[in-house]
Order: sequence, then structure tokens, then C-alpha cells
Amino acid sequence: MAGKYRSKGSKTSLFLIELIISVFFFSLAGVVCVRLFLYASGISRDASDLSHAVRIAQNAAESFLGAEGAPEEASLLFLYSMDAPSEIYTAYEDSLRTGKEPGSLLLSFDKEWNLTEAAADTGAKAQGSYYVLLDYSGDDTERYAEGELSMLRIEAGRTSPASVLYELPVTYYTGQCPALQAQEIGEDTPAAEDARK
Amino acid sequence: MSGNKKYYSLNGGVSLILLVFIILSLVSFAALSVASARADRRLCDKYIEQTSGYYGAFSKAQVYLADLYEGRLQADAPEGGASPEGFTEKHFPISDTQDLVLRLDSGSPPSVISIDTVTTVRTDYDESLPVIRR
Repeated sequence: MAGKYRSKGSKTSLFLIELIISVFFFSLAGVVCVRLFLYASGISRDASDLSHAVRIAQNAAESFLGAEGAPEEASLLFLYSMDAPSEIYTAYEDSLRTGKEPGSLLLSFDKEWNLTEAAADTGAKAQGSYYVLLDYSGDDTERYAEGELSMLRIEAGRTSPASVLYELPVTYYTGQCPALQAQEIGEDTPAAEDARK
Repeated sequence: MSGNKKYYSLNGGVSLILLVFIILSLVSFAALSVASARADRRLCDKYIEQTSGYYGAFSKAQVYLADLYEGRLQADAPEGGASPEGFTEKHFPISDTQDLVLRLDSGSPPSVISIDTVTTVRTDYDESLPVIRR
């Protein structure tokens, strides 16, 4: 009788020991895996933020080129391309009147990169999780007789902790070029026609 | 009556086998998610490189055009003499494999014919596998 109980008891304790070892190794592996998942999540979030920042900066650069280097037109075109709500549009137009820099634009975005606010003053502080700044006050702006080299510096970053994600400088020559002017009204210069042939 | 009762119990080692499978699957998924995140990051870096390269080359082309139109610069002579069409091409490198090409005519001042992105390396595709029969 006593031997029977001893055998049952040793079986149970063996199972308990096995369970304890399993739980120990499971928790070890769990910690390693959770760390790996967090690491992957961090890289993925960085990549996603960078991707959004570059896409928006590219959008701003194309708006600048589309507006032929005119700061205020470029900013309005950019807001239009971002599907900005009408109140943001109106708020930006209002703040243009009091803004220090001509056409400079500071956009605030929420965690999902949705546009939440736009301000003309570059001294203003971004409110959301991310910001995009269109700065036209480049020191390298060079004036020529026929036009000027209009400069735009696009900066996208996080508000807290404050860090710059991406920076893109773009230059546009505002002087009129005969061939480009002809293309704008849908005509070809003789040289362009020859090239097409 | 009591002899008909059946008792089920886990044999020794089953929980360890289960644990091994669970840990293996956890580690596999973790490794896959890290690999996927790194691939996303590499793609993003290439996107950044391409965008910065393109707008850098475009800005250089704009500075060149400004100097040209303001008379500070003469259009470069085409390499190997004038082309039969009389065009001048100015290359601005975007990356190791791409250039921004500014095409100017021979007028005075020269007019811009086109601003294009071209591939500078020859890509040889592997056509050894007869996937599509001609």
C-alpha cells in the first residue's frame, strides 16, 4: 500500500518539476520574443514615419515647382493637394496676413499623419505628433536680372521628442525660359518639334 | 463498478514537447517580423535616396539654367562635337544608375527642349530560361 502511494507521489512531483522547467524556459523565450517584436515594431514605425515624411515632402516640392517658385501659391497648392479642410485653408489665409515670412507654412499632423492644423508663422509651435515646415526664407536666394533662384527648404519631423525625420531643399529659377513658356500654352518650339520628329 | 472507471493523465514529456513547439513558432514569427521590418526600412532608405537625388539634381539644373540665361555661362559643347540635331545635353547625376538630362537647343540663348531622367547603366536581363516561347 505504502509503495503504491510513493509511486503516485513521485509521478506527481516529476510532473510538477517538468512543469516548472517548462514555465521557466517559456518565460525566458517569451522575454526574448517580446524584445524581438518590440525591436521590429520600432523599425517598422521608423520606416513608416520616414515614408510619410518623404511622401509629404515630395508633394510639397512638386507644389513648389508647380507654382513656379511662388511661395504663397506653392503653400496654397500644397494645402489643396493635401485635401486640407476648408477651416485650415481659411486659417492659413488669415495667418498669412500676420505671418512674418512670406508664405512659410507649418503643418501639424496627428499620430496617423492626418492634417490637423496649418499656420503661416514659422515661429509657431507644432501641436500634433508630427510637423512639416515649408521654409522659403533661404539665405541662398540669389537675385538675377531676369528672375531669381527661389529656394524652399522642406522639413518633416516629430514634435515629441523633437527630431527631424527628413529635410529636402529645392531650388527653382523663376526667370522665363522661352521653350518652357511655349510648352505652358501648349505650343512647341521649332527645336522641340525637330526633336519629336 | 470501480474497475470500469478510466483515469486520463498527461504522460511525462508531453508538456516539454508542447513547449518546444510553442517556442519554435514564437521565435519564427519574431524573426519574420524583424526581417519584414528591416526590408521595409531598406525600401524606405532607397526611396529617400532616390527623392533626395532627384531634387538635388533638379536644383543643380535650375542653377545651371539661371547662370545660362543670365549670361554668366555658355552652354557646354556636346561631347564628341555637335550632334546632327544640334542639341546639347547636360547630365546631372541622381544616383549611380540614373541621371537627370537637360536638353538644350543650339539657339542663343539656348531653349530647353526637355528635362528627363535616364538610366546610365545597361541592364542585361537573364533570358536564358525559356519561360515564354516565341
